[in-house]
Amino acid sequence: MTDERSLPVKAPEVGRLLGVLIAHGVDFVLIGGQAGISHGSSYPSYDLDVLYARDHANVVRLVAALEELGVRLRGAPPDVPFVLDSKTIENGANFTFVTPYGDLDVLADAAGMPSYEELRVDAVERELFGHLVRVASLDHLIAMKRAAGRTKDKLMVEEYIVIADEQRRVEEGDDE
Amino acid sequence: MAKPGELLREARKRHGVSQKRLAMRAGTTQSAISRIERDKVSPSVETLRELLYLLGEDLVLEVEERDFGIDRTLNAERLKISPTRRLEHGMAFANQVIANSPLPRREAW
Repeated sequence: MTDERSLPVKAPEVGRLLGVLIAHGVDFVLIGGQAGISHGSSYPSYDLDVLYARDHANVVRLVAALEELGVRLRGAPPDVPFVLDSKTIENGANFTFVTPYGDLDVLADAAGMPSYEELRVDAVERELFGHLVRVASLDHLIAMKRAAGRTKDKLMVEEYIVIADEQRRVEEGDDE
Repeated sequence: MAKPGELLREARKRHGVSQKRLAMRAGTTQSAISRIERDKVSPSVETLRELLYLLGEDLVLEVEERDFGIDRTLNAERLKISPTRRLEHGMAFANQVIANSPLPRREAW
């Protein structure tokens, strides 16, 4: 998702990006590093990754949200034509964008994920910046990070396992 | 961690039993034992348990918590604050890293 040898000029404004997606009624699940952070991870993340439902009505809503965000393709030469409409999104799958509010990755699928429906069902609903957001479960994040397989992903897998363990301890009231 | 083949071979040699004799005891072939010992095939836990039993050994499986080398303090603290606060911390941390990193910057919007 993020190019590991460069950094964006700033971290994403998570609340702003999520707010626009929610305002347009986009069916999505937050994944990636920001999802991990919301679960308690301490690894920084430099973009916002979301998986979106592929049905036409949702793609139309997604396009409206992306238009409002003023997205541009990330890393594409300026002369590469990009028409932001539902046809483009439906003909493609995964898009990496730069926005005035930071980098946004909009994905139809990611390695290690189950079906979108399964991911959505197991996601946890969290209030983030005043919005109710579906966040991929720690277990699915572990599967996706495991499939991604980069060094940083492997480190995150281990941390996510520890977090799941800590969450269980908190839930069981075990402070030892 | 020892591989199944290594466990079996060491146990067999400890008892001075040839692959052929172990195969006879187990009702299998010498080549099957050989494949296991060379880790060409991965035996089920039950198969390994049976072969070791036939050598007079018990297979003891243990599970122990892995030491990731991760300091859990930070994660435990993060769980005490709201998910939004966690993300705010995350953004601030990411911006701090970006400000201090020698890595090239990607294009701005």
